[in-house]
Amino acid sequence: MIRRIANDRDREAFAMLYDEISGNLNGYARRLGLAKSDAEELVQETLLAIWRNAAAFNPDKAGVYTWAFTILRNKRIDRLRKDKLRTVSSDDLWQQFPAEKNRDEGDLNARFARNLIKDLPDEQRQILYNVYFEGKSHSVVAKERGMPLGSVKSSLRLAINRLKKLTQASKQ
Amino acid sequence: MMQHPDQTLLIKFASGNLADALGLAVACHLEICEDCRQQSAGFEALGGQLLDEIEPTPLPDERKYSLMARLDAASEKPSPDRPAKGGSTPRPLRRFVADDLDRIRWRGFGNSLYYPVPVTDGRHVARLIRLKAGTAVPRHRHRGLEVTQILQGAFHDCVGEYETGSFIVTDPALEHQPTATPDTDCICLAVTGASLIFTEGLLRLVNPFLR
Ligand SMILES: [Zn+2]
Repeated sequence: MIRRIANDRDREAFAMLYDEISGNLNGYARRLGLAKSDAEELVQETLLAIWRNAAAFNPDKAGVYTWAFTILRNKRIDRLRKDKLRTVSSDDLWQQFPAEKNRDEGDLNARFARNLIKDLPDEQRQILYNVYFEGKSHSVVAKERGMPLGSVKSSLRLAINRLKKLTQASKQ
Repeated sequence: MMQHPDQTLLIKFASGNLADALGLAVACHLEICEDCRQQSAGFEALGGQLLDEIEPTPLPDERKYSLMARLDAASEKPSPDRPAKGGSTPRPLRRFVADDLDRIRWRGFGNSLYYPVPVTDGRHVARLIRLKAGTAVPRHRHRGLEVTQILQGAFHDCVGEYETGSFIVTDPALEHQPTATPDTDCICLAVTGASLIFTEGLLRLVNPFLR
């Protein structure tokens, strides 16, 4: 689909992609705490960037959702910046569309990511999402999930420990 | 010994919650550390998975129409990346300081020079520090967090030796005296949560934060 968008500037393919992911992007934007119209604008900007830069998408490196996630993340950071000169932009942190990386690195990344998702128990992964990807405090997460605060903290600790182990294993 | 940012920092970085001076230090580390780059990409994929399985919140149809109407105007305008080549300054710092570490207008005098990185995030102070080969910074401790990312050269302190590329988090309780290796000047990006506390002799007088 992204290939068709990139090569043929295919609006129909883009409309299909829009139908597939815009609601998900918006769901995430709302979970980040954005107001309705801010979230919708962020989703539009993200999809516009996907249209513009479809040629840079490299399926060997990441899936469509991962790519869309990084674009939304970057657009969100840049929307929040007030003083453009002296604050950190997404361009500073990430090369938006780096020159072709070597294939091996892409494969390794994909394998590491698969293991990460497979090895993390669902609850731990959800709590990781709540805290780090949605920026919620431990106590808010506890309230939302109906869990004691202590269990949220210990789940998070277990999740991070598991990530550490997985990292060490992938280095061998 | 090569030190790396821990998983918590990498996951905050990858999820977009470290868009500050600390994030710049992590970005400089990722420029040269393939292991951490790989982890960070893994955490991005975790974000992709979240996006994949999240409960969708549909947008009103007007949003789709207005976006489709903007596509033609938006064609063929890919944002150019800053060139990866150039001087010795890591790519994440190039918007803030000279392209080459040797062309930076270092301030201060003596063995230890500095240059303030003009980045404001309301929480941190970022500086480049240049320590002459073979010399030491006066013994000091830190109030709050200090992160040091070595961009060139290497140094050692009472805890250990750190090679080029190391990302070091200093324990606020530690009183230490970094000493550069004899062969090259050591250049670091230092990100502090608050001012350094010097504990040696005369420097007490010039440190306004010392009680
Ligand atoms: Zn590393």
